[in-house]
This record gives sequence, structure tokens and C-alpha cells, in this order.
Amino acid sequence: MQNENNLFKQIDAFKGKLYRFAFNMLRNELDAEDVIQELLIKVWQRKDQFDLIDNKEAWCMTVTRNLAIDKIRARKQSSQDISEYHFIQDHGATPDILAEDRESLKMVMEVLNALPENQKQIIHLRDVEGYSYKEISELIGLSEDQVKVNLFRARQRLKEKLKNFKY
Amino acid sequence: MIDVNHIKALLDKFWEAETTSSEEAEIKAYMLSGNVDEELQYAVPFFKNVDSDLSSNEDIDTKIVTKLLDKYFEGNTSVEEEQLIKEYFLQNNVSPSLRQYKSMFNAFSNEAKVTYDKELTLPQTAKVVPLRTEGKSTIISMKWIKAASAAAFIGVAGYFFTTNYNAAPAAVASVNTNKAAKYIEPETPEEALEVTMKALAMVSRKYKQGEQNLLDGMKTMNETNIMRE
Repeated sequence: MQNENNLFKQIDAFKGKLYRFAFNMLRNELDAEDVIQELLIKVWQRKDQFDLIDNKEAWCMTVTRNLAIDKIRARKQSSQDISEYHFIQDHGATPDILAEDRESLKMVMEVLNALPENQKQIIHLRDVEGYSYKEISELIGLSEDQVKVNLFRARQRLKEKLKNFKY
Repeated sequence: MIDVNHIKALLDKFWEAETTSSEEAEIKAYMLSGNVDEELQYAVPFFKNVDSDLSSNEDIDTKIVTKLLDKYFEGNTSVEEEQLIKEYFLQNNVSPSLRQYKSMFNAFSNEAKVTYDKELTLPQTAKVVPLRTEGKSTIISMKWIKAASAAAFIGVAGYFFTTNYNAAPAAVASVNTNKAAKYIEPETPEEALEVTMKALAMVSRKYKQGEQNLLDGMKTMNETNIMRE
């Protein structure tokens, strides 16, 4: 029988991806941590079968997504302001440019947050985590074509907002 | 037969501005050959116009990224091409004509830097108690045990409250008639020990009764199959 440490060691390599995905969907650190904890319980409950899962990362990402969706449905509370969470890393910029970047970044985050749930998840999985269309399709249960269409729409929306942004 | 991997390697060198002029001529010849591998098609427009592109004021990186960005917004870029775009936008020397997109790639990059440093352990509040029903293992989380305990506590408390409430008038009556329950003042250590032991035994009985209620409650919940796996 697997012990807790050995079992969870198999998740350690991609726990950041799981957390980021949950956070991306929930926009709340505590809720994202809750999802990770609930995922661990699910893994523990299936500890005897977990070794048989070929792609543990994909399985965990899918469970994380389902748990986050459950949480979105269950909660009524307002979400954390994402602009407080993200920090501009452009250390070479002047203070003026930094302020403009911050404003622009805030706008980007607002656009990303306002995307339909599927588009938000797909743009995260592709542009933040670098998953292939096939992997995304398997993770969220859409065809590759649907993934591409959603990605196209999400990027077009971002482009429309950004192209008129004046510096 | 042209080795695509060789051209890819040259192209990688080219993007890093490390190619010699003969290598650049080799890439250009391949790109204009009309027989370009699908994976490398994105670079063809650049090499078709490379002479005029190089003669303009815009630098090569900006030309390439502008083309790749068009593909990106159409959803036609590969993961590798997207990586090139990201690298371009994460450096400080972004062309003014493309600056408005920098914040988007900054946002993606910032998000990718978020880490989860906590150790992966089962949460204390969800330590599990395995129960076995019909040969199948069922796991009840701590929150259900807490709910069952609360229900058992309310049940026991309700029982005592009702009993004491009903018994109260009798107790008052017995006080009034000097027939109240005995109050024993122990006079020796042995007597005190005996009274204490009796009190502990009573607490133990009540505790066991409560524990049985809890187990009954858990069993009922288990049988009603309300736990989610």
C-alpha cells in the first residue's frame, strides 16, 4: 500500500500547474488551496489505482478543473481582485512606463477575467502553461477544433482591447 | 533532398542573429524553393521580403514578431512560435508599434511564475476513517464525522434537557419536602476517592452512550449512501 508521502511525491512536479489552474478559474488563493486539498483527498481515496493512471498530470488537471467548477457553482462571494495579485516584472522600465504597464496590465486582467469560462481556461492552458491543442482538448473535454475556435475568440477579444491602448 | 532539421537549426541560429551570410543565403534559398516544410512555412513571408525588410528602418525582430503576432491572433501559431513571441515581449527593447501587446505577455509570464510551495499532505480537517460496507471501502471525511458528532450531541443534550426539565418540578418538590437528592461531603480521602470513581464511571457510561449514538449515526449515513466518493 502506498504511503502518503510516496503517493503525493508523484504530484509534486506539477503541483504549481494545478494550483495556477485552480487560481485562474477561482481568482482566490484560499479557494485554490482548498481545491488542491480536495484533489489530494481524491488521490488518497484512489491510492490503489493511482499508479495505473498513465498521464497523472492530465488526470489531476481534469479533477482540479471539476473541483474548481463545483466551487464556482457553490459560492456566491465576490472574487479577489486579480490586479493585486499580479506584479510587473519589467525591472528595466522607467517609473512612467511602469505606471502605463500597470494600467495596461490591469486592463488585460480585466479582459481575461471577463472571458467566458471555457475561453479563460483555454487561454490559460495554452498561453501560460504551453499545452498543445490535443492536451487541452483532453483536459477540458472539447474537440481540438472547439479548442482552436475558443482560443481564437479569446485572443481576438484581447487584441481588440489592446490595439487601441495608447502609451 | 534538403534536411529540414538542418534548416531548422540554421533558422534557430538566424533568430538568435548568429548566422553567417552563407548560412543566411542557404536559408533564403530553401524558403524561396517552393518546397518548404509545413512547420517552417511561417518564416517564408519574411525571407521572401528579406531584402526590402532589411532596407527599412524596422529591425528584423520586429518584422518577424509582427508576422508571428498576426498568426498568433488568428490562432495559427505553434507552441514554439508562441515561445519566440513571449521571449520578444519579455525583454525591454520592444518596438513602439508593438508595445500595446507587451502587457498581455507580461500577464501570462507573471501567472506562469506563481508557484505552490506548500507541502502536499492530507489536510488535518479531512483525515479519513475507513468503513467497510459490502466489501467496498467507503471513506468518510472529518466534516461528516463532525456533523454526526454535532447531531449526536444535540440528541444527547436534548434528551438530558427534556429529562431534567420534566424532573425539575419533582426535584423542587423533593427539596421542599426535605427529600432532595443526597449531597455527600466526603470526610476521608478513601471516601473522596470512591465518590470520584463513581462520578467518572457515570461520565464514562454517558460517553459510551454518546459514542454509540455517533456510530449509529455514521452507519445510517453510510447506508443512505449520501457520501460522495
